[in-house]
Parts: sequence; structure tokens; C-alpha cells
Amino acid sequence: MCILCGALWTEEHWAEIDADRRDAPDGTISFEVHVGHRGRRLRDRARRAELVSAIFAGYGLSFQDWEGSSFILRDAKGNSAIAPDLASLWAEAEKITGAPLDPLAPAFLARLRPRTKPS
Amino acid sequence: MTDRGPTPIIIVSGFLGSGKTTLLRNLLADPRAGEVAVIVNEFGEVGIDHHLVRKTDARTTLLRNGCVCCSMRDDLAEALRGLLSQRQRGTIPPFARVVIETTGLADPAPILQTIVHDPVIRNHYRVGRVVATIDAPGGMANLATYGEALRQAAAADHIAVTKQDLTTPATIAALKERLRAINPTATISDASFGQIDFGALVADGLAGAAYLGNLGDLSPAEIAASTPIHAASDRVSSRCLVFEDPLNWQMFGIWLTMLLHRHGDRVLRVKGLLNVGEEKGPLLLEGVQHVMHAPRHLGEWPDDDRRSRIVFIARDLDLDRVDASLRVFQDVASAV
Repeated sequence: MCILCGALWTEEHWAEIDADRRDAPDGTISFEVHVGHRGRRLRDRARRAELVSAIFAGYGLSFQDWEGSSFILRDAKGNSAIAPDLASLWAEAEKITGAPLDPLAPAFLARLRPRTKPS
Repeated sequence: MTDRGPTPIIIVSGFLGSGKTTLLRNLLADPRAGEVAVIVNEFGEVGIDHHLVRKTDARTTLLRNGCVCCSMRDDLAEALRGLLSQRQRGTIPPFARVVIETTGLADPAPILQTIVHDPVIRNHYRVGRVVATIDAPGGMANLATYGEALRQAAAADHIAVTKQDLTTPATIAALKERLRAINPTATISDASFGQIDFGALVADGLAGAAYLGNLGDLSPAEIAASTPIHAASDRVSSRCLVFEDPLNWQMFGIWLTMLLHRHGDRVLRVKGLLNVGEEKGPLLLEGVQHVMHAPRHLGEWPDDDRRSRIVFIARDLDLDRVDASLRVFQDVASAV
């Protein structure tokens, strides 16, 4: 639970489970494990935010992790939104950009291709 | 009882009249199934099926008034929690697995979502197998006409082709070919009077991993050719994407959540063995429509092939573009 906003998160999103985590054979993760791996989790979330920012750099959007509990997204006009995990991030990003975000759209990929080379 | 880890759930789906209850009756009679609790869901006003399932009376729960896939999701969660609590208090005989028989019109995805996302349930249960029954005489027509039948076949780990005595071998062969094209990851078996290899259904281990492992013998071109895109009128296509280099797991998660946000209703099934750049085994990824299971680590690779292999089954989605999109996202990750 976030003690500031009172939001209760009862689960970790599948995409944020560490690839190298082997705590339980079925992939379940207890709260104790969360706390134990806090440092790694924060690094992971920061890296994710960095990767999402790279994807949306061409749209003027930037993403930041906030204390491992939320992603904050902002555009250059000062609009911002908060989302707890990756799955809910896209709806918020669409509200800010005002257009559907489609990872398969040729125009979207065309804007992304220049970023596939190290700058 | 409580130390045995999460209780596996077998979900039996299948279109109306395809033989779900017959299969369930036989499963309950099979000694390998062990002690089973049953949840039966019926669409009709008067529940009949639960009278046919006699072995586990005290452990049979009937969800009334409709379909487990839409209005009754809370009821399913309540039923699963109720079984846990009763088992704990000893008011029902112990059980080692749960079987959910869905209505013929149920889409398996919301059922999986209930199991995967409910905070109590996902810590006490796990999805063991998703079984779909399809009847040989009417199967082909149902697949072509009803989206529900198609979704059930695409979501299944195992498909039982039933009522084979009522039709010709040619019809059965054509149906099986169609099923293999729709869902190459599922095992398909012949069910005569509801008898299939129940040992495989109740076995531990990961459904579909063997299939993905078998792909290791093929070259990428052969894999692509083995699961071809179907004719446009067909609308459903399947494809195995193969990646030589290890995938960036974080970027993969970003990409797949974004894809499912926009196209989740068209992605019928995702199943894959991912090499995320570790020395140990691959990551097993499984999802039905917008519901992804928590990824699981396999202790070791099934063979010497270390390529990532991801099978997509989709409707009205160009899988060439899916492949290209994932590669671009991965390339961005290596450049950042």
C-alpha cells in the first residue's frame, strides 16, 4: 500500500517480475520478497522508465519511476499522469497524446527505427 | 494438505454439446485424477450437469444463472475461495485438484483472469491445463461460425476430438488439421466415449513446453513454414517467431503490454520459451488474449537450442508486423 495516496496494490504486474527470479515454482511472489528485493526492483523500474522514454522520445513524452510504485509520465506542455504499472501506462499515455498508440503502426515504427542505432 | 503448494485447476471448455460432461465424468472415474473438487457452470435456468457428476457431491459447486465467462466471475472466485475454506475446516473431503467445467459459450480468458489476478486465488491455485472438447461431426462448422468455439480451441493446451463414431475419417482428419493450424501448441487426442489420456492431463509439468522444445530441431524457415498464415477469409493465423539473440526482457514486457493494450482482443494465444540472456533455463511465457500468466522459469532448456521461440495465434492481425515490431523494440533496447 502507498502510505501517501492510500492506493493498494495487491499484485505485481507480470511484465515487472524479474526474469531471473525463482522464488516459487509457480512464479508467485510474496510481499516479503518484494521488500527484500527493493533495491533491484527500483533499478528495474528505473530502467523500464528509461526504455519507455526512449520509445516515446519522438512524441515529447518522458517517463519516470516514482519510488517503485508508480510511473509518472509527462509531456513538454506540462501535462502529467500517473500509472501503477506498464499495463495501465498505455491508456494514460493515450490520454496525453490524444491518439491511440499502436506498436504495429508503420508510422510508429518508422519514427522508432532511427533510435535503433547507438547515438 | 496445505503444504502441497498451489492446487492445480483443470479447465474443461468446449462448445455446446461437444462432450464436456462426458469427459468430466470419465476424468472423475479415473484413479489418476485423485481427489477432485468440481465447479460446474451452466447457462440454462435449471442445472442438470451437476446431477450427472456424482462422485464428488460434497465438493461439487454449481454456479447458477448464467455464464462463468461474463456475469459470474465473482461467483467463480467465491466458489474457489469457498472450497479452500471448507477444505481447511475439514467440512468437505480433501482434494488435490479442481476441475472447472465451463458453459459451452464461455470464453476461457476471463476465467483465467479470475484465477491469475484474484489475490487470494492466485496464491492457492494455479492453472494446470486448459482442455477443450470439440465434436467431430459439428466441429468444423462451429469453428467457422462461432467465435466462442474458436477462442476455446485457441486457448487450449489439450484438445479432445469427440464423437468420432458419428462421422467419417476424412472429416476427422480435416478437423484435426484445422485445429493444428489454429493452435499448433495444443496436443490433440481422440476421445471415444469421453476417454482420453487422463494421465497427461493430471501430470505435473508445463503444458506446451514440449512442443516449443520440439521446435528446436527446425530452422527458422522451417518453423515459419510449419505454422503458415492462413487464407485471409480464415482470419485466424498462427506463427512462431524465432530470435537468435537473447531478448531484453524489460523491453519485451514493454512491447507486449503495449501490443495487448491495443490488440489484446485479437491475440488469442501467446506461448513462448524466451532466452533472456541467462545461463540457466528459459522463461516460459503464457497468455490467453489480454491475460498473461506470471512468467515461469524452467530449470533447464529442453535441448541445445538457445533461441527464443514465441508462438502467436491471432485473429485479424498481421503477424509479419508483430514480428517486425518486436525486432524494432528490441533494437531500441540495445541502443539505449
